Amino acid sequence: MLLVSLSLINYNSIIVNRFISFILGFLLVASATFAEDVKIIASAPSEVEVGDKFQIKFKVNTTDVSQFNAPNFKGFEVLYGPSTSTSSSYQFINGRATSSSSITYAYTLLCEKAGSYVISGATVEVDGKTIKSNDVSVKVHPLGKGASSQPNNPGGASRMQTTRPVTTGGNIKSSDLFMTATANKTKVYEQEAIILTYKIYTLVNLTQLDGKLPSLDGFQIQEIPLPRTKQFQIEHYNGRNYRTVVWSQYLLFPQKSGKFVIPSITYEGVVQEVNPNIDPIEAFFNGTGGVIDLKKKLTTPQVAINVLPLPEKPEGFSGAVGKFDISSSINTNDLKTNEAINLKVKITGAGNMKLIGAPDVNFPADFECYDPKITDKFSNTSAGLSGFREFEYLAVPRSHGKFTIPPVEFVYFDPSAKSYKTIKTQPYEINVAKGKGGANGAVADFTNVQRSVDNLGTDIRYIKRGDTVLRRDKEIFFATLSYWLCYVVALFIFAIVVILVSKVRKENANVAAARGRKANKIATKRLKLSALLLKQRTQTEFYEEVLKALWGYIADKLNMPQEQLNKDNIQTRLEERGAEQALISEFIDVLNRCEFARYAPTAGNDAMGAVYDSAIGVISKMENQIKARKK
Amino acid sequence: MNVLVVLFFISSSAVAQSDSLAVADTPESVFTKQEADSLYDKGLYAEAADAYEAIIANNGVSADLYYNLGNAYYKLDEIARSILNYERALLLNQGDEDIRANLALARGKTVDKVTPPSEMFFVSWWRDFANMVSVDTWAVVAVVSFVLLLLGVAAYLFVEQIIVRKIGFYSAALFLLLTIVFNLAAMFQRDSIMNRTTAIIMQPVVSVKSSPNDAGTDLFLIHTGSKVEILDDTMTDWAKIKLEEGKEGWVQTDVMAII
Repeated sequence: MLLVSLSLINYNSIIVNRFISFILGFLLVASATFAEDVKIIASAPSEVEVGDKFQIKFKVNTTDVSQFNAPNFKGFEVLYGPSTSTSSSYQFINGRATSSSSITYAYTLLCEKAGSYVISGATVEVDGKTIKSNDVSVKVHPLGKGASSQPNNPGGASRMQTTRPVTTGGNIKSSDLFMTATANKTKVYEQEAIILTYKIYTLVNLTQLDGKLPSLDGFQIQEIPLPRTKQFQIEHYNGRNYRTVVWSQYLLFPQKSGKFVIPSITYEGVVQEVNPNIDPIEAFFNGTGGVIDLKKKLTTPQVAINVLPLPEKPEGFSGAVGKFDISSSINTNDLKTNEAINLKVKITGAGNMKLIGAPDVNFPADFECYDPKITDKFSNTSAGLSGFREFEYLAVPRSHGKFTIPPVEFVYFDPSAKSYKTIKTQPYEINVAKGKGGANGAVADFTNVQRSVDNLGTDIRYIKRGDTVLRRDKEIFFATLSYWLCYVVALFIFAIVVILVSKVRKENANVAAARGRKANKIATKRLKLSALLLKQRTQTEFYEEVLKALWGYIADKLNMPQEQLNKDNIQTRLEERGAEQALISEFIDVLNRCEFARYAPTAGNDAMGAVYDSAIGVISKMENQIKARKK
Repeated sequence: MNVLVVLFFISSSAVAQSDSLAVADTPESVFTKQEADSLYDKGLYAEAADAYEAIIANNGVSADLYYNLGNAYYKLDEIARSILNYERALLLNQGDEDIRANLALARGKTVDKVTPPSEMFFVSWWRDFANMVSVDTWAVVAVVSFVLLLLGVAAYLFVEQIIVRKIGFYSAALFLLLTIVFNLAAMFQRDSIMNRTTAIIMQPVVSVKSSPNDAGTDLFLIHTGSKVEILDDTMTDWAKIKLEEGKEGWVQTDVMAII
């Protein structure tokens, strides 16, 4: 039944095709010597709509087909077929001749019922061998509503095709072409990754699209790279079959908590359409040109994101949100002072890897530490950034001994578990031997690197032990009676001393004065007669008397007889008795004046008076001096 | 009868002997300083503080005693009290480095930043000089200087050699000057001791007001441990105070303790 209807329908084309294929086949006999593997390939659109006419083609890579058997098109209505077409090509490249030929068998099918179908392969007989083609899967979508405007379809079926781009005549509605924005999670914790996807839904032929997600306050954005060529898929949405494609995808890391709205983005699109107003004659000659470009703005919807704050952060929280593992390695456990230790801490997992800070490594005291080196390797995935971040710590021990590097802790927040997790590395035992300079047991030389003594802590100075003299409050020694008394007492003592001393001095002076007066008396007595004579003004007798008195006095004083004394030895005698030279000279001077005046009298009662006074004076002085020495 | 009279005189003279500087132990105080010090050593700071306070109340005061008490309060983290006692210790022994060091540490723990007022350099010099030793040390030194003054005068008056007389004259002049200076220094310290015009704030936060009543405007806040100068204390409840940086205002007298 099927065969009959087939042959009836295809009668005309069969004749034509057969004729052509006969001619060509004749030409190609010569090239039949070039043998190839015989293949048959079946191809058909993978997705169609109910009532949609489509073609399934079977291509054989040789024309030498003795028999072709179509498969059982179960579930499909065969509208037309098989129509065969042959093609051959002869190439002469670089001295080599190649030729190829093929036959294509095409069937036009239609499906009334939506669903997924598999059309089994067709078979051909070539050179006595039977070869089967591949199976073809076809998905039949349910019927969609018609486009908003439709072209004239002179011989068209009552069913409308909407999987092919429609012509809108310049008026593209938002339902013909739109974009969706979806986030895989709208309620997240701070730092938890969100995937934001922008997808195009189109009924028209979109050829270009421009637009980009701007930077967002409160989010860290990473674009997920997508393949450059975009493949459209068919999606049934709102009763229509749209061609869809994911245009762009972004990873968002919220940096703070709160309710956020990712704003609408405007994309600029270019839609290509066949111009429906074209002259059919012109179309005949020029081909089906007349394509126009229409511009269309696409606005994405907003997306609301609710970012929850992280629960109370524990001490040592690294800031990492996601799922992580930690591992560590060390370059050596035994080394010498001033050699370096290399500790690597690696954090692997998925989450906000870029924001993970270096974990604290508590190297022992006297290890000089340096800022860690960070190595990253991660890629964008739906869980966020996944990969690893490695921290390399360098430390140099300055003194020898056994040390332990304690485990390194890493605290992160797991959003799926909604809690903080702590993971840690293993501790390391380090043996540090004495480095250079330690062999002779000398203390390390610090001449250039002396460090000031660092304060580890400060505390008050210790209490004062020991006995203390207690007093009543506000009782001080100063300004008390006893204090001033000290001054008074001192002054008093001083006064007494002064008085005593002056008294003694006075007495001494008195004694001296008394002695002086006594001496004066003696002198006056001796010179009594002289005084009388002075009054009488008898010069010769006066001077004689004075001389007599002086010599007599000296003789008495020196306890020597007067005859033994003369002006020469009186000098030595008086000196012996300790008289001062001045006095001796004075005495001799008076003697000389008397003698001179006696033997050469001059007028002058004044001279006599002067001599008298001098004599008195010299005797008094003599009295004092010699007497004093005698004691 | 005579015996009675004699006995009476003996006993009355014995009573008259009681005027002395060192006070003997009275029955109320059960602590000696050594005992209190041992309590401190054992770490029983609260007990040590109580012991020191008891000695102060009953027996008498000394710089060392106030200092130890200040240490005890510091260990108990009662910073205001420790500052109070360090200041009291300092009044009695201005030259002690330990007291100054600990006072500085304690002041470091107060909230209010101290900006000392700018003063003339000679004022600072004089104060630093006068606070080199305690007041009684100055007193003794002044008396000694006076005695040396008198010796100089005596040398001038009574010795015959010219050179000795010259030395005597100039040293007498010098010692006269020194005696005056030392007395002035002692007077300077005595004034601080006798007229206590500074206080330490004891309450955690005190609002200093513009007038001596609760309705006054709040001018500024001061915190426990801050030292203030009392300008006007004629009222019983309120006192006018001045901060070290110069700001003035009124506070209630019970928020502070006079040094």
